[in-house]
Amino acid sequence: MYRTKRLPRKVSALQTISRWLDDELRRHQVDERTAFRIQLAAEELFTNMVRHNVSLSAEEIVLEVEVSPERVRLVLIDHDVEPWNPASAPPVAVDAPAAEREPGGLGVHLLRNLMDGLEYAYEGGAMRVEAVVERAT
Amino acid sequence: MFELEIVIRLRGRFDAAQAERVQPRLEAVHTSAVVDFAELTYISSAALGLLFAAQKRLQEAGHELVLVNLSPHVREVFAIAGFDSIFRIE
Repeated sequence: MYRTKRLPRKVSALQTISRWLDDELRRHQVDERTAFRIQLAAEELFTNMVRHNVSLSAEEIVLEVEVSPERVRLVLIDHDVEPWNPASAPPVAVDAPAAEREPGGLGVHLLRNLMDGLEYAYEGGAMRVEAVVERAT
Repeated sequence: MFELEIVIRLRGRFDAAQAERVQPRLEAVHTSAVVDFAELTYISSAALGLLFAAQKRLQEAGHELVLVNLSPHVREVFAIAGFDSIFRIE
């Protein structure tokens, strides 16, 4: 069974998201490592949507979370937006010296490395991103 | 001999919503400083970007931020970002 929440397109909604997720994850006794990763996915994907997507209807962003004994699945849906695939973000040169690197661009890089699943879909004007983290055994 | 050590203590969540509040405080640091993560429970890319910008600016002036007491989850994020070679982590 999954739980849903609708959030305004504002970075300040992060506090509401983190509390809501924290309650859900605690209720299911999700381990600290998995909870950290799901919180990170929620923030990185939500802030990407707020900053990169122009919603024609200003409809709220939908978050879904589903916790099973094996994994946690997080879905974010943004309606009435242009297609934009976060997975298309260029790779980060993590081995480059500081002088050759710029701040930023790390969000998708972190998710690529910390999620067990990361899928993007675009249909009927809605962008849907699903992140999955396998629970520690 | 007199030594002044600047310690920046981070608490709770350091996320994109907090970044605006923290940015001017990091920009006000002009010498080497210790950043204590002991009470930090969460960090995201927005916070990493701010810390990186501060480190880059300080290193160019011959200074640095030294990071201490990182939790395993936060340390893993730094490693994935390639920041363990940019910051001294103790």
